[in-house]
Amino acid sequence: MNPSATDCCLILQEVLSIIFSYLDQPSLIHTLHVCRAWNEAAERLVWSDIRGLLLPAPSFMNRITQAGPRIRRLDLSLDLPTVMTPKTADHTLTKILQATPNIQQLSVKFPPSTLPTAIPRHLIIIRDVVGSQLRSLGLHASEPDRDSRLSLPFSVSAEEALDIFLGFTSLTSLAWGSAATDTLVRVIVCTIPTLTSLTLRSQTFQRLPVYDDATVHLIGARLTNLTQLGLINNKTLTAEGMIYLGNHCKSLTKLDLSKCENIRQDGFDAILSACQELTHLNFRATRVQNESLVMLSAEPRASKLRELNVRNCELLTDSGIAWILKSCKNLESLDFRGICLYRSNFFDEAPWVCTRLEHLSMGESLQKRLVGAYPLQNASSFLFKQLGRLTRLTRLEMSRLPMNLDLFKYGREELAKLTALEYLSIENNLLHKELLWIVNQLRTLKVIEVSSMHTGSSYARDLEEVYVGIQIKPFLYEVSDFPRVGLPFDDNSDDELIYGYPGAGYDYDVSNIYSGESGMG
Amino acid sequence: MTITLTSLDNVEFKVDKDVAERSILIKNMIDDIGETDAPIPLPNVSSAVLTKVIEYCEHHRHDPPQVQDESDDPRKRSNDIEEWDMKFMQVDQEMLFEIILAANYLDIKPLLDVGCKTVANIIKGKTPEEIRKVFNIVNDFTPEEEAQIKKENEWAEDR
Repeated sequence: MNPSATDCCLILQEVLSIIFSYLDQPSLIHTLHVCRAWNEAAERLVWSDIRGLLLPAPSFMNRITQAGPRIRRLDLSLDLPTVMTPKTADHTLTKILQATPNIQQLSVKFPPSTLPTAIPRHLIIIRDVVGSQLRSLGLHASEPDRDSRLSLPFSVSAEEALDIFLGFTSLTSLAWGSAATDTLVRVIVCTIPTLTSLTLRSQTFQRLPVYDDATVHLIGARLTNLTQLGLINNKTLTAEGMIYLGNHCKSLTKLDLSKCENIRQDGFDAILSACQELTHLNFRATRVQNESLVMLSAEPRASKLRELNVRNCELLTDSGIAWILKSCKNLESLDFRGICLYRSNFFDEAPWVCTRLEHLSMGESLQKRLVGAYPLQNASSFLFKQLGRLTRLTRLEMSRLPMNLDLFKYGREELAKLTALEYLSIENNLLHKELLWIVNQLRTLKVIEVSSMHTGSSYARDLEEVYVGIQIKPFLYEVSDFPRVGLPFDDNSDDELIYGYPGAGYDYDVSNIYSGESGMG
Repeated sequence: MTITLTSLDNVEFKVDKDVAERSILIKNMIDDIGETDAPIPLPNVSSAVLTKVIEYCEHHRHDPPQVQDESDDPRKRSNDIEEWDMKFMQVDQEMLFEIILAANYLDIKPLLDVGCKTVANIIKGKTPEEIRKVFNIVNDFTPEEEAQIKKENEWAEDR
């Protein structure tokens, strides 16, 4: 009863497809080159999920017409090295979509140069060609993480929106990455009541009317299946909107309120006590307070929490963070950069139970040292002991922790346990030998961020040459979330970055400010 | 109640019903034929592999049924293998593949997943040449084909 040769091949292909589904894109590409059987299994996956493309790469259009029917998910970037005329852009988009008739998820990234009038045209093309089958649609401005002043906000009028969105009959997930106006949101909510995931980003510098609490009420009342909601960078939302939401959307699992700085603590109280199923929270640069983190640290919800971002929340302190670290055992990602560490025993109070953490970001606060009267070198030994237990970390950011690291004295043994680490940000006045030790010891590292003092020297280039595959980058201190802390900028300096300044302490050196793309070191 | 399983090389294994039913194939068989003392033949699995598979099923006998991964992302993570499973999978490569094939045949999804994740972790970060060496694979491409594949995937490798 031996299986026949064809059976064997089929089983092999099936098993290979499962194995390959766990690979990242670069590894998957490598499997294409191994042998025929592997090539066949990998081909299907490579082309079912295409991300971050730069269009039109020379061989891209040819291949997309061949592999088109297999593609189910496509991330297009219309960010081109050369400027495309509106007509060519429309034509290219039409051609790509016609070649991918089974696509279900589409995300399009628009470059800064896109004219506002082009957006409705692109949307109409998408609607006409694949609108009725799309389950997920994302529209993003070129810089998804920052509200860059360079990119034009895109929006459409109420009539256009009504006409467009009625054609997306299967849509369950929508992301609007720029200038979500009040009328637009109302049209979306009324035309696509089946949405389970909605992300709306607002733009502050434009005088477009942003959606308000009443519209959030409408979102909650109409979109009864909503499980994922992002209301990003909206300065008009208040606690009232959160109370409405809490009344309606009890099954939310993912919530992003980053940069909604007018929601006060009562708003967070309302939404967190109403939505017990939350697993992913982004409260970056909001006015959330410690009470909320204490609330999240109580079982049964403590073990539900997977992801938390409270970067630059100016009303939070380390005692809230300490609750999370000692209670949420299933946490996979935590970002508390910019939170001041007041408690001298922050690092040794209790063991961090979140051993499933893959991303941890801390430091970057404005203080120079731990506030308590604790001997500093001890603090770093406790920090490393905690880190040594987080063996799943792939990304660790600890630049500008307010203390001396004393890596060789306390850190070597513990850091060596992080055998999955790929990204390390450690701008802490490292010595050359310490940098060498890190690069030599942590062979899984792909990127390391250190102070510009290192990256400006030939030493970093030498290291990169010897240890092929590692990139040594300067640590950039992003000030965009700190409009009020008395830095020497005006309120609109969103896009300016300063290089990490490795001098004595962490004072700001105005001469280090640069803007735009030029002047790397 | 115990079930008797017979391996390819005619070795009999007596296991508890709930352990055997971790395999959907066996569970369906039992559901179909009703409770019986007759041994269930597993002609695709050797006794060495079956021993390992039973060890896995016994350790996981009380696991709740797997929840379907509801995310739409076709790319899955491979770094969430539990400690016991990781130790369990520390076997030579031939055994690793035998276990995967057996898990596929017996329809034990959690075991299949753990096995595939283990292999994926071995592949990650290796060049095609290194992969061939590790898995003892013969490169069966002609030089022309190889050049063609390289050309076709240039756009993806540039990034």
